[in-house]
Amino acid sequence: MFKYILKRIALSIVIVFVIATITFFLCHAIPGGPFDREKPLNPTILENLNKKYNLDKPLGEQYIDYMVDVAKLDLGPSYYYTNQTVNDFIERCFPVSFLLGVCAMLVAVVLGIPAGIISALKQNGWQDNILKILTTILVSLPNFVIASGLMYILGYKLELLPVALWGTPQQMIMPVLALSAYPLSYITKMMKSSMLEVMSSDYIRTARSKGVSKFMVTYKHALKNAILPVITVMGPMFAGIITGSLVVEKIFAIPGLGQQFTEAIFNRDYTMIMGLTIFYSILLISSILIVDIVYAIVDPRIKLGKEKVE
Amino acid sequence: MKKCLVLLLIVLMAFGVVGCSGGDESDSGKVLYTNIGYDPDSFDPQQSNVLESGIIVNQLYDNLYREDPNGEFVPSLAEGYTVSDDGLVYTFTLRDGITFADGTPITVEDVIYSWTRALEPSNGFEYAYQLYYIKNGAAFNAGEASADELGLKAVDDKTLEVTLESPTPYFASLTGFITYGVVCKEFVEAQETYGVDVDSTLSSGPFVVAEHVKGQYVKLVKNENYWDKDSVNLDELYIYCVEESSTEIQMYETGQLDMTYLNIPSADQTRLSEEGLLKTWSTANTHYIQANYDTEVLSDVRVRKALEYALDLDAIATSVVLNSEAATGFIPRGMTAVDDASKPFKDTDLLEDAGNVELAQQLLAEAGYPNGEGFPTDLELLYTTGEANKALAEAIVQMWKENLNIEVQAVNLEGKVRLDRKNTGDFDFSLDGWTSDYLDPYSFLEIFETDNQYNNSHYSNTEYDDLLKVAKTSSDQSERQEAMVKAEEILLEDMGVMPLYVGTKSYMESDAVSGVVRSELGLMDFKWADKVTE
Repeated sequence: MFKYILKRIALSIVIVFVIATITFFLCHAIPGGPFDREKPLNPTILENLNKKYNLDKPLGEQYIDYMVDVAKLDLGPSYYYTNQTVNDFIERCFPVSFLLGVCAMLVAVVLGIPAGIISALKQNGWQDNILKILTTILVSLPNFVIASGLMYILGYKLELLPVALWGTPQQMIMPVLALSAYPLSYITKMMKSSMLEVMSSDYIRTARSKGVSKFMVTYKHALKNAILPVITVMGPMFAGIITGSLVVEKIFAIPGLGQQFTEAIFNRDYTMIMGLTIFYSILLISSILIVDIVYAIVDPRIKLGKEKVE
Repeated sequence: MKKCLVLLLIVLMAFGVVGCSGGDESDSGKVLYTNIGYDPDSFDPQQSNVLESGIIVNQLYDNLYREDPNGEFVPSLAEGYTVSDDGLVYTFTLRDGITFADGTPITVEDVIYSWTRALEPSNGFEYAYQLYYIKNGAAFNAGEASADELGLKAVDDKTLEVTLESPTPYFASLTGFITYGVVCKEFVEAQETYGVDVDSTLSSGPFVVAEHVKGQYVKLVKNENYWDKDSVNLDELYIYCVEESSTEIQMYETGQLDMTYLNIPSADQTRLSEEGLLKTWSTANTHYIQANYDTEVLSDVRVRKALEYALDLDAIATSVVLNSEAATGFIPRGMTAVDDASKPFKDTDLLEDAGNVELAQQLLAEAGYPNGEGFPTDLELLYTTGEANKALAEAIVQMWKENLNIEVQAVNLEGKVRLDRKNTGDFDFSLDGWTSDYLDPYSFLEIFETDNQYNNSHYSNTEYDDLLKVAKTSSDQSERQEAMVKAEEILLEDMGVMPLYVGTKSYMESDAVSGVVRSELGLMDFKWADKVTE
């Protein structure tokens, strides 16, 4: 397994390199540059700026310089935010997005898994029906609608929570709820179907016929197996929550990283676009890798790196 | 089942408990909360390159001249100036007893250092061109002259002699521009990078920066060493960077903000203006269409006039854009005459014929396209993606279709893609706006000078260019006024630009607040601001 992990890491580095290269050339291919302004810059000033950021060199040379820097984990200066490097930005904004993502994921897992189990055990009962309606609503409402709704009701009408900004625990509640709505419903639905499938399998029937109590069967035998598909989706889902929090971050004025990503593209902030793309790809690749490892630990049927050996 | 309920309860309780701790209301005197939707990356006046960062910088630094609540530039760090007969040499005298926030005296040396710094080519400051008026300013910025050759001379500790490239009658008010802000030479030189955080910033203005929570707010406190601290009423000023307008409105409505700043979406505008909550602020900007002279059909003045006259500018200003005024020319209405600030720049309506559909149809027929027949159908009107721009572009295209029977495609493009197409001349019509950097009608007229880099439509008229030369160099203000009025008439007679509306900015402000200066240039100044507290 150790060898397998090493192999996966090596492959990941190659993937990141390819992504970085594609992004670099795509960035430079979009019309417009970082210093295009509504009021065009004076040619002298533009020249000074290009010199300052080494944009006056041929593209090939810029590419090599950039890749060498990236290999040293230096993502370069932002072209839009003067005096700040991309590394500064990630160090400052990522923890915020990460915390927001972790909380949302916790809410989704802590509420979603029990809700899924209840739904499965009481299939077509009133509990299941209520949960069905709730999850369908939450899964289909975009998170900005939920965010605005929460803000209007809890912040403006009831004045229970501060409308926006970040820092105190109160300020975290609404964004976390808004962000967890989709994964929560998704996990609930997934847990339910997976649980139903497991409950009707032969070994559960065997266990029951051997006289094991319903409680033991559910929690000891069924749950362990039913949770596997949920774990599979959790990795990419988590990466998705962290990277996809931009709308919620914008609505609640949260200084996270998600917002930066779209702005960087509008600003043609090349180093920022590339830096964040590389960072997010590493995040996504490693979360998938971690899930695979966890999977191997939880599911005895899977042995990493031995797929081909029969 | 029970287990799940317990879990649920725990989660709810966790939220409940943290929800109980209340906010802290400190007893620190007059505290004002505002928002600009922008997180500053520097507190450096020379580096500041966007309006919003200018608002913060404006609170931290003082200039030789500063815009007062009446919109006039009055002596601030300077006591006044004299100017030589040829209009080339300005001599400023500094006020006595002026210091930086740490008590270091402000000298002429600091002023010269600040201005030289703005022009230093290796700094790559975007607004360096604002100092090209100074002799050899442009040459120094291009690396073709040395700093010693700049037209800046310290006569003594209190007297600064500035030599200009050419007579610039509005130079004193130019020194009130952000880029001319005065920084402390000794302090700046001691910093690795000046102005990146609280510790590397030293104020010369009404406030000092006390705290910067990146991505959230900047907290400013009153500068006790400011020469005019008696005029400063606020003790603390919080400037937030909430970018979403609906969030800003809710924060204002729940009392977290004392005023709003961001553009209010049209849906909210209607509701808020019905409730009587909206205030308007007139800004020196004009919105217009640029018609490309290189597109053959548009090089005919009759076609351009027909297109402009087919537009109902009043309807555009009141029902499409909301809270704005129909243009009466290219110079916005708030601009005053340069020889007499009590009079408007002009009182004639140069666009009287706008909305005269019959005349528009007649002109189009004369140009060879009766009832739009034979008019190209592949022309495009480019606009930057956005709800408001879309409504405007579609209204224009619709009016052309209805009144002239011609088809123009409204094409939305992402900001920089549109700029790229405009700068490379790859457009027929472009929806644009202009806000000037300084209050002189020249800042508008110069755009359409032949060869001006902003003149993407390639309008050219030698008579216009000659008048602008007079406006730029003459030191006789009435002569300048006359030249610029004539120039604007020519520009519209040629329909070199197709004006639409002059903007005003809508905002909300609590009744407790007073004295915030909102300039025509879009800046806000809190130096004289006050807030009534219970």
